[in-house]
Order: sequence, then C-alpha cells, then structure tokens
Amino acid sequence: MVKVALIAVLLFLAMLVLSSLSALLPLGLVKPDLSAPIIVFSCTFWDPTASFLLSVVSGLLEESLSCSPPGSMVFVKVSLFLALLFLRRRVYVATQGAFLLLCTLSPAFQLLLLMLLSLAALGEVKGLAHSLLCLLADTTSTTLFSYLFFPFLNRLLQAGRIRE
Amino acid sequence: MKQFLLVLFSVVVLIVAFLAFTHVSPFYGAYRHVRAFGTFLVGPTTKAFHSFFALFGDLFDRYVLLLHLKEENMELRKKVERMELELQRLHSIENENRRLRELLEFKERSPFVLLPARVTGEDVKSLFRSILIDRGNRHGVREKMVVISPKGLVGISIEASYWHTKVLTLNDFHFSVDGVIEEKNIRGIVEGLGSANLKMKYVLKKQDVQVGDRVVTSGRDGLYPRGIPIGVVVAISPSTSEIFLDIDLAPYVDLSTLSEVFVVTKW
Repeated sequence: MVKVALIAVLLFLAMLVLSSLSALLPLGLVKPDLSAPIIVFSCTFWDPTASFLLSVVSGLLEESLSCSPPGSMVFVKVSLFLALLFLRRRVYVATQGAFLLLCTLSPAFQLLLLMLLSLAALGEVKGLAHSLLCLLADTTSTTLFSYLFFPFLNRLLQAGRIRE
Repeated sequence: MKQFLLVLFSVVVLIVAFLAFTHVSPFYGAYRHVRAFGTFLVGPTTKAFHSFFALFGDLFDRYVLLLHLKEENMELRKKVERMELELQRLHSIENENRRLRELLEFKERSPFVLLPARVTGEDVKSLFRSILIDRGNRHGVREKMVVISPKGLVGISIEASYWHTKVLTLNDFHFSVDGVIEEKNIRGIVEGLGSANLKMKYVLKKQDVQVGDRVVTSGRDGLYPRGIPIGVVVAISPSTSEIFLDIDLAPYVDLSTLSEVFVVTKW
C-alpha cells in the first residue's frame, strides 16, 4: 500500500512537470502517457490490486489536468487494467519485450475505447483526423518513455523484493 | 476469489465512470465532487512547478550565454558577461514592461470587467486542448466565463476550483462559438480542430466570403460577448454538403506562446 501511494505521488508529480513544461515549451503533441507504463508494469510484473488502484488514481489525475470529459479517463484506465488482467491470465507477458509491446499498444487501445465511449454516450465521434495524429505521437512518445522507464520500475520492484 | 473481487470492483468503477460521462445526475454530481477535490489538490503545486521551471529556463538561458562567452579572453569575458547579463535582464524587464503595459492598456480600454491571470499549465493529454490559469473560485472565476487576450478569444472556463481554473481553448475539437464575419454580417459556427487552425461551418455558398475576412464573436449564443476577434479567413473551399462553404480560419491568438490572459468576469 505504501509503495502504491509512493508511485501515485511520483505519477502526480510527473504529470505536474509535464503540464508545467507544456505551458513553457512548445511540446505540441509530444506528451507521453505517463500512467500506461505504470499500469502495465504493476499488472504484469507486480500486484493486480496495486494496478487497479493506480489505474483509478491515474485516471482521476489525468482528468484533473486535462479537459477530458468527466469519467472518461477513469473508464479508459480501468478498462486497460481489465484487459491486462485478462491477458495476464491467458498468456505469459512478464518480459521486457511484452511490456514494451503492451505500452506501445495502450494508446491505440485507449483511443479506441474513448471513441466507443463517445459514440455510445454522445452518438458522435469528433476530431477523428486529429485523434489519429495524436495517436501516432502518443504511441511514439509512450514507447520511448516506457523503454527508458522500465529499468527504474524493475529496480523498484527488485528493491522491494529484497526487503521483503 | 481475490481476482473475482478485483474484477467486480473494476466493473463497478467502469459503470460509475460511464454514468458520470453520460451526465446521469446523482453519479455525475458525486463524481464532480471527487474530480473537484483532485483539481483542488493540483492547484498550488501547478503554480509552484510553473514558477520553478520558468526560473530554471531563465537560468539555463543565462548558462548558455555564459558558455558562449568563454571564448573571449578572461578580463574581457568578465566584463562582457556582466554586461550581457545586465543587458539580458534589462531586455527581459523591458519586454515584460511592454507586455504588461499593453495588457494594462487593453484592460483599461476594454468594455468588459477583466481579471488578469497567468497560464500555469497545459493539458497533459495531446488529444485535448486546454490550459490552466492561476485564478480560481476565490478570485471570482466561475464556469463558462470567457477568457481573452489582447489579440482575441482564447477560450472558455470549464472548471473552476479554489486555486485555479481549467480553460478549454478555441482549438480544442469540443470548442464552438457563434461567429460573424465583420462588416458583412455573415454568421457561422466556429469550431476547433485540435490543430492550429479553426473551421467556420454553416456559411451558405452564395455568401461573399473572401480570404482575409475577419471573424469575431456574434454574441448571439449568450456565452460570448459580441465583437471579440476570433481569427482571419485563410482558405475557402466548397464542402461536400453542396450547401455550405468550408472555411478555414487562423486564430489571432497564438496559443503556444500564451502566458497571460484575461477572464471576462462581467459584460
């Protein structure tokens, strides 16, 4: 629980840094999905309960720092968690390659869900061309971020295991 | 058993989130409180982070300048270094002074009651376009207040917390405003596209629209006062609908370099 709280605080700070930097630098579309690697890692390598909590918290945090409609980000993140839980039970995904692949696919999965949610609730999907452009940028930046972030998460997990 | 409970909790959260998304009243109300608490927590830290990074950026600029001066001889370098830093400081002060004077003049000549605000953050999702400003409930900012800059329309406040306010900018694809082409009185709906340009919709093909025409708010939607500059027509093409024109606008406000805005508190 302490580790989950610690990761949630780190995620919160990372999102604030991203938001503040975006206002100062012309980052444009280069905004990696910071929470996806954490949800993927915690679900596949660590504890699904932690992953569930982190998916809810990260959804709420993203909604606090974004103009996304209420509930949308929580819905998307928890759905991502459920999909990962399903994958975890069916196939072996606890490798770095699988982690990177899942992180790469996660923006597409989230965008698809967001569109379906919008279609189901509002009856229309707006800004399709822009969404696809964002998907390309999100996928690239999230994959790169996940690649760089994996050793840190792995070390955090190893440190925890040694202490336990 | 544990995994079953986890799936059950997840499904419950999904249902609540979906009901909040679809604005089902008890869920939406409760969810808004949770979200408002999150936004409340974000407020002071965003401002602190923004100030820190602004300071860091300034120091970095100065450092780069110092590295460049290394090539000069030691004696001269110290002199130039001091002078350059001083000059940069003065230049920065002069720029800030000019900007603030412009803002003050704008505030004084504006027919609206304006509240100045600083941009402290931007949307963390690339899909959406919004900014965070350092004025919130305690300064009298409420939802659906118009946000402008001396150049024109910036957006509309969508969520005001105690510390700060979230502003939906005019390039977000959820944004729309009733616009009118100045001097021709041709009305249309201006919408964001997520990119740099805007789109003006529902203008009949028979209307005389030219590249370079200025578009301002019409004031007929009841949300935006009349006459706020939105953008200029940059391209016109016949749309597939056979009835309407497809008009591209370039907004007057450069949202990527926006640092100060005004909230229209009364009009």
